[in-house]
Amino acid sequence: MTDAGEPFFAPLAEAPDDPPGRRYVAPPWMRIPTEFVPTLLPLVRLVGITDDGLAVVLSEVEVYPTGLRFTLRVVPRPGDDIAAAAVTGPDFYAETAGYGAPRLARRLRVGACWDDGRTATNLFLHGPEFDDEAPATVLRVDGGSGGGGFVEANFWLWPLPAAGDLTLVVAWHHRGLEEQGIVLNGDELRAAAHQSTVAEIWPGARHAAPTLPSELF
Amino acid sequence: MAQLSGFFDDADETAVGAHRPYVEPEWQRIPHEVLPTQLPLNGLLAHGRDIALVLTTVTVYPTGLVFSVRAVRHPEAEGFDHDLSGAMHAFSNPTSADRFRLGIEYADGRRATNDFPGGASGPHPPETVLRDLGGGGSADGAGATYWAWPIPADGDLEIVYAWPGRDVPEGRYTLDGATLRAAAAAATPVWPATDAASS
Repeated sequence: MTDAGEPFFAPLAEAPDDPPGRRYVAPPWMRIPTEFVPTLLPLVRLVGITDDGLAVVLSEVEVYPTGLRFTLRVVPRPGDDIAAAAVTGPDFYAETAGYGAPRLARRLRVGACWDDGRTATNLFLHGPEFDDEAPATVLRVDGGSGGGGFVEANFWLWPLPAAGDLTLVVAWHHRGLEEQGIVLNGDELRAAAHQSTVAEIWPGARHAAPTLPSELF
Repeated sequence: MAQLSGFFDDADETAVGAHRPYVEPEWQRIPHEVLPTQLPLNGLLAHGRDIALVLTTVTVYPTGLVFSVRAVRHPEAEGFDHDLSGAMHAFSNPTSADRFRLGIEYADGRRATNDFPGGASGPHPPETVLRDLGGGGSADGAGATYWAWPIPADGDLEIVYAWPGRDVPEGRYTLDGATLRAAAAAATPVWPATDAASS
């Protein structure tokens, strides 16, 4: 109660006001097109082990018609209490799945290169720029999770290569893991994308046009 | 007052106290120390009212398996579905009629459901576990990830789903038991045997 005896919070309505009826649809280079069933590529593999006992594992690769979503998982060495303690707390999440300047030097570095020379990395401060024009490439964090002895970060990578392979690059310099490359076979990616394209969940549905950044900001 | 200057100078910053990290029992725990085997079984389970259920990322460990279910909104559904993500989990609304129901059934009749989202309930060790590992959501839908234990020693494993509040009738998806057992046997250690610290 305030001094005047009036409650600070107004009574809740039966239901909160809905946002405007139009549903937000991100531009295709930013958006995971979940109206397609993604194709799982069973590519689980160890990327590398840091000097302080952390294993980095490529734990999921899902291919959509436009791009791919992948997950990197960090697992402490069994029985190593120091390594186990390292993967707890928000500081570690910032290192693996976060944005922001304070952890830039400590960041689990993730990147990709296309055979035509294009590249993308997660070494940015605030995520990819919002612009009405499609950038050459996008690598953005798509959330993460952790607890119980692991932390993982999800990434969205766009676009799929029209020709050639796609190479993921991972390094964690301040923990002693030098650059590791993982080549994703381009033909397998394109075949997986085609499989996802035909696995449309709501065939014939009308899709709303994307909301462009200039309409938001 | 005692002279405290320099009190911490000799402290070992890497010392670990007696309070060691909790390690969950086998039936609750994803064994991250092994590289699992993934089965390319992603597929549509069912259409309901304004949502579709999709099975994704079936991942097999030596002891159990992890899989995800996504509720994908119809592209023409407008606005934001405030209730969708919460309705996928029984943590906060265990008795809601709108809640997503999920279960597993073994060939010998053992069952577990997401009515107990934390996993094991009743006797320890339990007969089976279906644990809700959490999930997320967006304007396009919501998802949840589950741990199922154990790998069936014989027969298949069925995933049973229903969502009455979203007009999804009860349905079943069969995971082939022989495929699960082969995948569980194919999982490999993350750590070289000589590199793991003594447990």
